Amino acid sequence: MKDPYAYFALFSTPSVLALRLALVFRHRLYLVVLSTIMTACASAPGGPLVVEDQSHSKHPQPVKSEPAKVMVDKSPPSEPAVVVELAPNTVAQDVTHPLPVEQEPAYLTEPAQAPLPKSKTPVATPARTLPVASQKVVEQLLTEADAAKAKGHPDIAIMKLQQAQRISPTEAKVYARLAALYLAQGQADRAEQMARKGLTLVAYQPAYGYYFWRLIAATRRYQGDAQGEAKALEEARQFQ
Amino acid sequence: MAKQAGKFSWPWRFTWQLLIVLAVCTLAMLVYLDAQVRDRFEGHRWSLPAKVYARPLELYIGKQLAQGQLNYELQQLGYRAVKKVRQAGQYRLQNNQLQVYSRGFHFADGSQKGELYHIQLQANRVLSIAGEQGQTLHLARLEPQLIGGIYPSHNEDRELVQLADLPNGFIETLLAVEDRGYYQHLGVLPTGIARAMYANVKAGRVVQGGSTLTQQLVKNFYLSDQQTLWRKLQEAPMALLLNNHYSKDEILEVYLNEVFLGQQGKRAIHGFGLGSWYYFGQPLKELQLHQTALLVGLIKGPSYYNPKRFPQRAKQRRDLVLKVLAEQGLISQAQRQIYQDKPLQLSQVAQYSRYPAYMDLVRQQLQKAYKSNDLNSQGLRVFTTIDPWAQQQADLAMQDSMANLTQRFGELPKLQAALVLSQRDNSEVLAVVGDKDAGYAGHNWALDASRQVGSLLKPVIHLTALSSGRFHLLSPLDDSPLSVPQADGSQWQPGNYDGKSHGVVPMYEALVKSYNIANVRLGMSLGVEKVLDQLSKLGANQQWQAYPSRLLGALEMSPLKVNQVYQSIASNGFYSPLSIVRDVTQANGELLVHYPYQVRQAADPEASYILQQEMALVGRHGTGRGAYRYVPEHQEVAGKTGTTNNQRDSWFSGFSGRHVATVWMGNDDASPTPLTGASGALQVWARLLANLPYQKDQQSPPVGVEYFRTNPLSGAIVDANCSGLVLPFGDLRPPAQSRCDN
Repeated sequence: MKDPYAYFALFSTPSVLALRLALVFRHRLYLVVLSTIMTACASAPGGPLVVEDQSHSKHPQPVKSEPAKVMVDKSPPSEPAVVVELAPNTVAQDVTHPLPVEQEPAYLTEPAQAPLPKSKTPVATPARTLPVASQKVVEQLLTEADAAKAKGHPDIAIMKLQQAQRISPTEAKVYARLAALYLAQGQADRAEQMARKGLTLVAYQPAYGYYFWRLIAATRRYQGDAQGEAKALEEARQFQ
Repeated sequence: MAKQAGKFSWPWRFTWQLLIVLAVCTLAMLVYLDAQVRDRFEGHRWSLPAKVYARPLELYIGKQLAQGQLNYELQQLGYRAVKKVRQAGQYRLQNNQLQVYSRGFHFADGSQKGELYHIQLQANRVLSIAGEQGQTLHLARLEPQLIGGIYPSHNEDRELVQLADLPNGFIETLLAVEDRGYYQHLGVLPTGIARAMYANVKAGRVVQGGSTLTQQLVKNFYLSDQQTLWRKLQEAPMALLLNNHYSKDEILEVYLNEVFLGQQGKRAIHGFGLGSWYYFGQPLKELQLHQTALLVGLIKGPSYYNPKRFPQRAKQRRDLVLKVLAEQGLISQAQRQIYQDKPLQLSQVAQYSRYPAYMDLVRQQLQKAYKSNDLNSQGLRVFTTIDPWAQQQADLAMQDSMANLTQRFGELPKLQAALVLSQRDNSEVLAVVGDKDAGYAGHNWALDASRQVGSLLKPVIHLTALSSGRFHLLSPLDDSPLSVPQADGSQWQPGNYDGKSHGVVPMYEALVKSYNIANVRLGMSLGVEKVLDQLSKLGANQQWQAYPSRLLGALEMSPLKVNQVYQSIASNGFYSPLSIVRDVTQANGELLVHYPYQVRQAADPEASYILQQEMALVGRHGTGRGAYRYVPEHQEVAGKTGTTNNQRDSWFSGFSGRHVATVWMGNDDASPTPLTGASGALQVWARLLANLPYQKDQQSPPVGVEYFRTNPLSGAIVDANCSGLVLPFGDLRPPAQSRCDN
């Protein structure tokens, strides 16, 4: 399977529906893949951060708190796809709305205001305060990017994503979209590098850690690097 | 036959023949002129220079925006402050309430209509944005400022307009002054020609042209501007032909874009569209009648009536135009009085050639992808990353620092300086200063200077060390005297700036205090080649022979390249080429190319992150401390000073919030200066960063990096309740101790 997004769709989808669509609507695979990627992005909710107060522990502890474990899609790559014939009108409806309604974006529930351990000093405080309002504009730009991509204007989509990245440069989701878009364009190397950049931002968003490694696995598969792919999948597992 | 021939004597025959020949020639000429008229009129009418735009001002909720910046941006865009905002190009800013009516613009990502925005500001931030109907908006975008063009050799520049772009009363004013019977005549006015001929015969030379607008257009559009008889002979038939082929409105539109209205250096200002920008800093459509009157008045003699040089003369001419309008009943006497009382209202914004150093970079990038003929004739639109406000602050920081140095050290005639400012998150270049005189277009020191970098190399040594997995920030380094045998048998003995050696020091201190000996030892233990290789990957993109002295920065780089290297450090070890141009579109707005944001991992992200925190200590406690004379205490200053042998070069490169900046100072002949990195370059850097909007670095530490409280003296991690320096560590950590003190 040399098609990068087909591969990616097969392995990353959290939704069986997308797979069904892929099989039933092969000629509209593009939309389906978009939907899949969107779902993967959207289904990475950030649970409330568990912050342990470690100031009383006897042994020296990291000042940083443990990142929360977040529910992610854990379906193994080898899971067989169930092909079910869909009633025509159901499919039509789904294809007209290829973008699943996004769940609460991960960062809205991120630990922006989470209490920090007492032992922290200003030098050590990792800043995680995304201005609440710029989240909305980022969401808007992501939606516009998706629309542009769906209309067959990947360049415009990239512009919108870059605009979002300028406004909110630490938002992993933006890098996820950029990487997915590059991969969809067959620019595997560029996609991997973007995913690697995204990986530096996932300390509190392990769901994205998983996502980025899966995406890297897909880029390597696309380039015929089976060993690299296996390694990336191994890395992804650590985020599960 | 002979009789027949005799009927017409030879003079007659000759006359006939001559007449026939003449008729054929005239016909041929008419056919030729006709072809010429149609060819040029219907073909590619003008060579249009590429237009270069700044980044647009994007407003979104939460965006940092001081009123000073807002005022500056609106002024640069030619927005007029009014009491009630009614049309595009107007704004009202009062009590943190901004109403601004944007102009429509064709961006690279699509067309955007002009829109009235209600923007609420609070504490230098955008609090809310609402549209005309009060609907909440998340994003508002003003059109970008035009910052320059790329010209062909003849330097003609114009901004094309259509009849629909004209302000009220424009055509009436133009025709009242230049050609009252325009819509009636056939392209020429025989009475006008007769009057002109009489005047010319009387004067014995050509002194007057009885030109209609059509003839003026023919003269400028098709013919050379020499006043010869031959040209005069062509002019009238061509005007007739033009009039015959095309509608009056079509001809008028071409006239509006062809007319010559002034000269700015080598750049010729053609057409009312550009004329309006050049003189008033506004689009033509927004002009009021007194401004229109001035532009129309200029046709008669753009240099003689040049309002920038001869405002009095220009005002007289404008008032004369207003008088003509009143006499013809187009305006009332009362209106005439009102307009006459208005000042010329010329734009104070110097258009073009304001950012010579930045434009050098734009040209450099474009020339890689485009032929110069395409750049200066196709009307391409180039969207760059320059931030006019940041550029202004950079110019001022340079200017102030230079004035200050002159005060301290007296005249420093050979001293030169350069500055590069980029966006930490995406490598976009926001500002460039290429000379100590910021607006001077000569040698571009930011791009072309190749100077030793000195201690700027030390962070690269530390990055290599941290990436090796063998060192952490508290690793003990030996700063005792060192002697390195050279290939030629001699000994190289690096010394510290203070002339002392400091025994065993924790690694971070060797950077913070810029100890040479400890860093050379560290670099040699890693391998000079490894360090240079890391430097190259970070964006220096160059190979050097590995000598130990390289570790003290005995290698040359331009300020731009240094900024590239520090940019990679500031973005967690990801190299992203400094970018100047975002997009290029065709004249019609169609996207030609988008330069996408791209990254390449060039260093270990965890090591880079730890290095960033180490460099922040340089600002807090080390050689960069002086930055806090200007920069507020809460702001992070992470960087490194650099001073080369005998103080030939003074450097500071570093990052703060979302900006990365590099400043270099040195004499143009590389002779010693009185400056260190801290007393020279750092001053400019700090002045600049203090005046830019600051947004705290929002990144969380990469996975695998954790902060611990430490005791630097014992080199151990201590309990979180102890006092002591908090430092980040990767997998390799110092041992823990249970007591707080030694």
